[in-house]
Amino acid sequence: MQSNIVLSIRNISKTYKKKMGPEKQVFNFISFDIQEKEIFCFLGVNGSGKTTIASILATLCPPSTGDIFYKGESIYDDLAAYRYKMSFCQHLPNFNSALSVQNNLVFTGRFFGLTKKESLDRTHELATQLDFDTQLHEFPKDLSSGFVKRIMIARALMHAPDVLIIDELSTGLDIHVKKYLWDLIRSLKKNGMTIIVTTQNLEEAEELSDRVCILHKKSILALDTPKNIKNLYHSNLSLSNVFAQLTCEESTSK
Amino acid sequence: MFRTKNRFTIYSQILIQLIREDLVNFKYVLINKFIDIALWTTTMLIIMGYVLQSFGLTPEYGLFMIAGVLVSSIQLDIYPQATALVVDYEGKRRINFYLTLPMPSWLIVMRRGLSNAITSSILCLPILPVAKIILWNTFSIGTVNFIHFLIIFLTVNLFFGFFSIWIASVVPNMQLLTRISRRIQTPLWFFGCFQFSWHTLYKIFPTLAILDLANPYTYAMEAMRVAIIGQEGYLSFWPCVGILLIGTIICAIGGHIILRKRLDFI
Repeated sequence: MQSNIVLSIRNISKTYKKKMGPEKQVFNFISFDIQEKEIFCFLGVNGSGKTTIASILATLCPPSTGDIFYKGESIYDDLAAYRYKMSFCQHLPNFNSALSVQNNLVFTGRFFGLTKKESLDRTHELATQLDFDTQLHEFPKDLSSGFVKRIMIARALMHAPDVLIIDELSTGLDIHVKKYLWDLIRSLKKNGMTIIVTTQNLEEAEELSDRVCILHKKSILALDTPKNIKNLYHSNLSLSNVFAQLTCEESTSK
Repeated sequence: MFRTKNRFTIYSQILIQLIREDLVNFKYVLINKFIDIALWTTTMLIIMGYVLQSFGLTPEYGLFMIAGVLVSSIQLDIYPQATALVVDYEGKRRINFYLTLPMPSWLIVMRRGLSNAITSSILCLPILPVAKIILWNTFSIGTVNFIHFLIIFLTVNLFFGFFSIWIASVVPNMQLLTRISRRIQTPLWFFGCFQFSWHTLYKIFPTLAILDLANPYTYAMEAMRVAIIGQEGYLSFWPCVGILLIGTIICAIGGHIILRKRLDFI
């Protein structure tokens, strides 16, 4: 297992400095590894730092301490090379609203060095795969949130990254879209992609992930397969009940 | 891609595509923006070139004002450009997508400044021929030093392109941006030799004129006048260009540092 580690997170802390008032510490010296071709899920209540850790892994913001290693090399030694291997699908849509879906995707491909033809072909390939080929000439702002999420994921897949980081995979989406996205994530994993997902949806974490990392009160409360986490406590309970119990116990013990 | 091409080529290609994307966006607003600029230019030049003569101004005042109108047209776009950036930082944060592209973050900031400069150049270059048409007899194209004009035109566009980034970086929200526009941008513009030369100001208010040397608008207006009318009676051309280029670099570096701290990116 050790040789298949794709990302090693070592002693990462994140503190936000405020102009007024005390500093806000999101998490403190956390370390863990992410294996190749696994679906790794960050689970936590609001404000537990899921989006922050996803943003740090996506190199959007720097950690206050620690380092991250991609296949043994610090990502900060060569950020651009790491960014070429990774992709970040953010929670809120941030497309270029003046451009159609197709043009948004084609430009993304061009940013990653594809030729115009390659980028257009890849756009059509992803549109077919993610089932939004009839929406290609529409504008993202005119589409439902389900389609917007698919297109966000398509944009993240344009350069065929090795690691896909998705913030809040299915927040605000109906059950049909959720199930569709879960199937999509599983198929991406089958194709050899490592997928990191943040979610508040416990069913999603249980259904989808190979391993779950529960973030709570600035640290990792549990990190294991959903099954093992349940077995540690009450195997007959769902992950959502175990999560509620864990976070509650942690809160009362402090 | 990272193994087969050198970094300079890769970053240049991404930068070109990012600017292309901005130009595609610009295409949709080009006509409206051009109408805005054309109205501003014709209104100003007709009033300055013809109407104000009845208050004792010489017919050459219209010619004198071409540089002021040109620089003003370039700087008029600062506010919407800075607004677009602040709206993005406060809202959807489209910039977050660009910040995960395989290139350094300073190039993302550079790209915005360059795009601003290119779009305002496209919009404002036709002002010179329009001025010729409006001020037909008083404006001789022969007085224009086209090499100097091209140099100062691009320099002013670059300066204001990056100045808008610096403004957007220091302004925390939209309300303050409006306030800054009224309290800082407007006085800088009007004291920045828009309707008079620096030497005229020096004759009347020497202290104010010395203070005005800290105002970048002064250099933009004066150097533009040198390019259109000639050197006599204005600040020297090349120092003005140099100071504006230094200002551009300060705005670019300062804007990047402040934005990096504010948006917490790498």
